Amino acid sequence: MRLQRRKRSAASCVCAIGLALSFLALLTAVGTGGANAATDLPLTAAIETHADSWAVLPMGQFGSLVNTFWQLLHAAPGSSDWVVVTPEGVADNGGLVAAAGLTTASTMVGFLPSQLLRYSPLSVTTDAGRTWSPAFIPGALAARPNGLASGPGDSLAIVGAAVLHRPSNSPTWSRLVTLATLRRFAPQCAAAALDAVAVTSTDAALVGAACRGRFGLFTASSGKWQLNGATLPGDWRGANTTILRLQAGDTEATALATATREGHQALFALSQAGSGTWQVSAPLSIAADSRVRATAVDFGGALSVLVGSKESESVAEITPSGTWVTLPAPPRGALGLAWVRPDMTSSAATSLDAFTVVDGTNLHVFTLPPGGGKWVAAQTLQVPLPYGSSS
Amino acid sequence: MPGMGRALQTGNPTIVSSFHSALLHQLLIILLVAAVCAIGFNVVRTLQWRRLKEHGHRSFPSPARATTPEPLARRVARIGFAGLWILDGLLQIQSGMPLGLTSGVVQPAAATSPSWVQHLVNSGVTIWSDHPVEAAAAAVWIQLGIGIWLLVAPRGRWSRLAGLASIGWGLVVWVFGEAFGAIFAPGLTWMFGAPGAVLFYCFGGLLVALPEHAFSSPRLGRIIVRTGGIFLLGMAVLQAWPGRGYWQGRNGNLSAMVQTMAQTSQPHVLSSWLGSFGAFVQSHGWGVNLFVVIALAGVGVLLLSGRRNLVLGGLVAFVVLSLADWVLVEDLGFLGGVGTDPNSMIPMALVLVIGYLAMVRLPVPLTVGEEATEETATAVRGAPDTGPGSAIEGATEGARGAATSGGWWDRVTLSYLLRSVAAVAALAIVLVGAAPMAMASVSRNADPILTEALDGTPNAVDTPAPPFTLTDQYGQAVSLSQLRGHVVALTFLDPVCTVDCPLIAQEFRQADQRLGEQSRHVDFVAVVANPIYRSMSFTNAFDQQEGLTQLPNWYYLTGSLSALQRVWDEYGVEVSTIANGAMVAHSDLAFVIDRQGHQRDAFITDPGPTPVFASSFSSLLVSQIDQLLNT
Repeated sequence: MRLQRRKRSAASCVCAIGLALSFLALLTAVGTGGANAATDLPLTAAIETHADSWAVLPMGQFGSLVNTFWQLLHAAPGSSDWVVVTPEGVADNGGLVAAAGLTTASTMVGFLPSQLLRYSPLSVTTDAGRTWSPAFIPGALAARPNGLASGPGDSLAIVGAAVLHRPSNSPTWSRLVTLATLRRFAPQCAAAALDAVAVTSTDAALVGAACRGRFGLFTASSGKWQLNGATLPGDWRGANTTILRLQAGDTEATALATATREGHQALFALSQAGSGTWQVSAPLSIAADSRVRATAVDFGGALSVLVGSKESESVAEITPSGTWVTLPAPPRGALGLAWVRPDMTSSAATSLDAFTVVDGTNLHVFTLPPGGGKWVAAQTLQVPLPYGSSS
Repeated sequence: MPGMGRALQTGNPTIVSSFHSALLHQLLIILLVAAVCAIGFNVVRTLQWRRLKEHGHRSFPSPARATTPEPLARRVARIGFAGLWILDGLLQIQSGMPLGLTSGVVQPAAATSPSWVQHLVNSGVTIWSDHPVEAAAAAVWIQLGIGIWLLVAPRGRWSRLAGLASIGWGLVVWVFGEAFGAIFAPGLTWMFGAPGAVLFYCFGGLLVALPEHAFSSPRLGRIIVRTGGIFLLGMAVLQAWPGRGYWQGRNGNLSAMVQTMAQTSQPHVLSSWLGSFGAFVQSHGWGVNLFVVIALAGVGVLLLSGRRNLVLGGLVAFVVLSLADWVLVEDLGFLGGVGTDPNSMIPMALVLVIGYLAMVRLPVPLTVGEEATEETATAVRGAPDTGPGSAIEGATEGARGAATSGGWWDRVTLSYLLRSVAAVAALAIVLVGAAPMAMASVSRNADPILTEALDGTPNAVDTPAPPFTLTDQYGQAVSLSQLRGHVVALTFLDPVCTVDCPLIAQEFRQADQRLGEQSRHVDFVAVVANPIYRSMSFTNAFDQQEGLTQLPNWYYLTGSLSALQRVWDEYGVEVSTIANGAMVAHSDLAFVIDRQGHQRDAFITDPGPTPVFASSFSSLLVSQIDQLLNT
């Protein structure tokens, strides 16, 4: 009897210990969750027009979104100096999107929503950023480097799941096309998001969208939208794509697209002469621990990307033959790129500038002369930032 | 200027003064209740004496005989946890509590817990943050009240109710104040206080709430001791679990904890002990953890053995270990200005001591006819109303038997009456703290004291409000004189502002809603405070963003830059643009203008770092508008 009781007691003790250990193991498991890595599209971007070069890049305390103040830089052709021309009147710690007309002097900047501001004020300059006028768009601009576009007359903007259009002679925006419409016209694309817009030299609209199996590049013809983006090359067939940049030049349009499949990512440059089909470059593979940090597009179709990881950065440029060449490693910590043309009329090769930011407020510019060589320190700018003004 | 993110410091004089004032007022109420109780006691005693005299008695009923004294384990639990509750109540009087408890104690405790725990804890934090003075004062009186209640009610229903109150409040504190003692956090360890000090207070309350016959056999004690053993074995396993940061010395969890505690404001001798221990852990972290693992496992095994001598050895070892951890790791727990309790080691050790006593010191029934000692008599006097099965049932019956007629005056002893009145007074202390807190917590609006603490009290003025004529969001001209006959709440907002202006707009909207029917006599007016983005497109976009388009008495006015500049100047509003990505800086000001067009109050409207302040501001604005509407 006593033996039985002892056995029962020992069994219950073992059960209790087992239960306690299971509970502790559960607690341990609960406490060891992982966080998903954030992915984003780089807003740090540059555009070049016939008249000048513009660059958008972040400065300030990168660990604190509210104290990351985005700056708009301008360089006149023939000048080796960049000038900070950030429009005033709105906190730009949500990010900036710039759109410059290729042949007009008008440049438009959109402030991305930030904190409690949920729509995007615009600002327009016609004198290279010396003075700015406010402009209105109903809604919040998409956080995409080409979420806003200016043509010779018309402007386009991505707001939510729609592309808005503003004719040159009107202050009001109207809906041009929606994501749902694009899906209807091109079900094979299964468009997931609007990525980029561009206006051609004839004021025709180009729309880039996230797509599956193809590059989601759309144009309108007789009121109908058609997908004329190329298919993906063999190894990348079926991959998901996004349009990172979309820029219309004088005679051709340029796009930079990402393709993602099974955890692998690559960049593709696309070019379109006239209204023809898009030519696809060779892929530029991106390592798993790297991401595209900045992009720069030249109106002539030159395109460069800055890819960075925690340890290093690299810059690649697309060649006219559609292959990628790796340029000399940029200065450590580079976070922006921009093409600069020596003068307005010159068709001479452009130089590539890289930007680094030290201590949040010191902007350093390095130049890679045409033909390569090595990066040369070209300029230093001290940009006082209003920390705490929006926190 | 907007968006400067001003936050209230824990020692904010407005809040501290209001907290002390609340405590003083509640103390006066408690003294009043005590006086009423004393009068009640005397009235009942007088009535009893008259009845006794009517029935021919010459003295009050004498103390009855007890069959058993209060079990020693129960008495230790009751008095021990009463002392801890009283200590905690006194610690809650620290002036940093109203503003510092949530940010300094509660949120850090929940920071590493899963999001559902943080969500739950935040609901409590919101109530505390909305009403910091009422909440802090409530914590003082509830804890003091429970402690006193446990002390003055040794046996019977009042005593068991005190145990239940201890469990109830303990669970509230454990969940909302200690985030479940961080048991769901990845760094869970006995050394840092898991599973939370207040859980042991609940356990102590449970022991007091149990029927006394539960202490009549060693079973309860064995359960307590074995549960403790299993718990410590589990903690040893967790402590030994690789990859949890306790095996490495440098940059390990233990050295980080010790270093953090060493930075707490405290006597030099303590910080120097901690510093030395921290250095020792840094260089011998592996060895320290091995020792802790072995010690916890060893004590756990000894407690599980069930053998009296082994349990006693384990208990002594555990007390020594606990004291060492309490001093060298937990840093006594209550230092630093927002310490709310002495942390878990003392209550945990107390529970195990109680368990041991419940195992080995069983209550001995008094022999029939034996006179109760003072101790047992006191216990009996406290509980003549216990039901069948009570340890003192015989005593009650004895008292009944002694009575000549069956009236209450024959049975109620003086000391029972006194203890009952004292228990009622202790319950009143709990209620004096809990009632204002309960009333405040059902209000969705924060206390106006927060705004006053941040922005100062409204500046009472009585001057004609400078006139203006501007354009509203519909394109109509609106002048201040047009609004005569209504009370006007006027402020200045930037339609593309990212921080303050949307919050201030919500303060106005909340105030409008809270005024209800009265808002028909009030106009809420904002003037654009941005020299660049000032067109109607932007005022309309702002109204849409903030849900103001449906308010019939809302005007968002704009005009030419010169017209706006004139209004800004006349109302003393500074507006300036800042380069390189900042928003426009402008004064956060609001004015209340009476029906005759006179400025009556000028407010600073800085909405503070959290939405709590916006809610608080609307409370203040409503009260000022309400005054003008009713004069």
